[in-house]
Amino acid sequence: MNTRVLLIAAIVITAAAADTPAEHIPSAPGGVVEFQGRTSLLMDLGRFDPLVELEGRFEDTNLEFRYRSLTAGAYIRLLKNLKAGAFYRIQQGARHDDDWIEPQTDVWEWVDSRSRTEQILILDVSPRFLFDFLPGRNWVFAVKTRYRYNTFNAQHSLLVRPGLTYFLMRSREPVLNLSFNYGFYIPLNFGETFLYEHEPYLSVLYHLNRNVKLELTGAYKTVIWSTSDDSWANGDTYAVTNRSFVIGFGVLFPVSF
Amino acid sequence: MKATFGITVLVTLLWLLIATGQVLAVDGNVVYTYGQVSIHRSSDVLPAEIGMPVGKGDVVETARDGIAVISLVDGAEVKLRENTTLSLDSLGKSVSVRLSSGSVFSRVNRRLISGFSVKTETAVMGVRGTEFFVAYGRKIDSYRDVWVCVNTGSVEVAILETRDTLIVEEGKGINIVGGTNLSSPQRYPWTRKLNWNMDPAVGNVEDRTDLEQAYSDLLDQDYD
Repeated sequence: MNTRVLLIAAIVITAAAADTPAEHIPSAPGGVVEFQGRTSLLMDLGRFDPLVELEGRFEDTNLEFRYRSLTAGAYIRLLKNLKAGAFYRIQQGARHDDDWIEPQTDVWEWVDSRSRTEQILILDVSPRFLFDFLPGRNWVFAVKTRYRYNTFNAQHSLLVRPGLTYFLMRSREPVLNLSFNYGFYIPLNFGETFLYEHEPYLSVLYHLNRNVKLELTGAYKTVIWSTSDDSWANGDTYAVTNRSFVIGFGVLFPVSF
Repeated sequence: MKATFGITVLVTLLWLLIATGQVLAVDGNVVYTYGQVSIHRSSDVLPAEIGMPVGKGDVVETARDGIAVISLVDGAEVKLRENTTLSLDSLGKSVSVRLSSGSVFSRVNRRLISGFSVKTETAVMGVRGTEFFVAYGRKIDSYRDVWVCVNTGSVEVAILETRDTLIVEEGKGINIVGGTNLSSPQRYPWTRKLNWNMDPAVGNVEDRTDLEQAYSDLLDQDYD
C-alpha cells in the first residue's frame, strides 16, 4: 500500500513539474471561471420542510452547459439544534474519475456525459448552533453533513461543510445572510485521495421579501481527479488537481403553510 | 323627621362605601373561564367564576393554564390568554384596559362604544374597527416587543414616548420592536392560526398559538 502511495506521489510530482501535461492524463488549466445557477421551492410545513430544486452549471474553459440536476426531498427538524433530510436527485452531465477514457489508441478525452442520466440518493444531517456570543449576536454555526450514493456507478461519498452565517435583521426578520463555509468532499469507496474535492464557499442571500430570496455565491473549487479505469489499463496512475472559480446565482421561493 | 334622618344616614353610608371603594360599579361580567383565573379587587384576590361581575379598577389575571372571556359593557369583549394581566382602567361608553403581561383579544362594536383602547407599557392601541389582538413578545431591547394583529376593521397604534402613530388595517399586523419602533404592517403567517372566537356556545375559545413563531428561528433556516 505504501509503495502504491509513493508511486502515486512520484507521478503527481513528476506531472506537476512537467511544462505540459502528458496527453494521457487529464489536463488541469488554472484560473477557469465557471458559473452555476439554481432555483428552489422551499416549503415550510412546520416540522417538515419539503424542497424541490433545479440546478445547472456552465463548466470548463468553454463554459459548456454540462451539469444539470433536479432534486426533491424534505428536511425534518429532529431537535432544536438538529435537522435531517432525505433527497432524491436525478442528474446529467456529471463527471467522474472513470470518465477519462481512451476511445482510440493514444486519443484521451472526457466522456460527454450530458445525455447520461444518473440517480443519487442523499441523506443529510446538519447540527447547528446559535453563536450569539459573537458581536451582532445573530450568528449560526452549522455543519452540513451529507451522504450521497450514486446508483450509476455505486459510488458513496460524504460532504462535510462547516459554516458560519451572519443574519442581518430588520424588525426581527432577516434581510441578508452572509455565509462562509468550507466544503470537504470525501470519497468513501473510490479515488486514491482522502478528498476528491474541497472549496471555500462564500454566499450572500438577500431576502427580497418573505417569498423571494436572491442568492450570490462564490467558491474556489479544487477537484482532484484520480486514475481512471482506462488509465490503469494503460499502466498510468495520477492524481490531477483542477482548480476553478465558481460564481453562482440563485432564486429561492420559500412558501409557508 | 325619622324618615329624613334615615335617608341621611343611608346616603352618608353609601357615600362612605363608594369613597372607600367597597361598592363595585358593575360594568361587565365574566363570561367564560378555564384553568386558574383570578380577579384582583382592592386588596382582595377572588377566584373568577362565570357570571361574576367586574368593574372599573379590577385586574383580571390568568395563570399558566388560564383563559378568561370578559364582557365589559354592551358591545365590548376581551379574551385573555394564559399568563396575562389586564387592568380595567376605564369602563362605560369609553373603555380603556391596560395589558401588563401576556396577550389579549378584543372585540368591539363601534356602534355601541365611542372609544376603546388597549394600553401597554409603551403604546396605546385605539380601536377603529372590531377585532384585534395585542401580545407582548420577547424582551430583546430595553422594553418588550408588542405584537398587534387586526382581524377586522383597523387599529391606530400610538407610541407614548415618540408620539409616532400608525394605522393597522384588517388582516395585517405589526411588531412594535423594543416597544418603541413601529414595523411596517404586513400579513404574518403565524396570525392565521389565532382563534378569534370568544363565544363558548359557538365553539372552542382556547387559543394556543405559539407566539414564538412570530420570530425568525435562525436555527431553522435551510436554503440548500
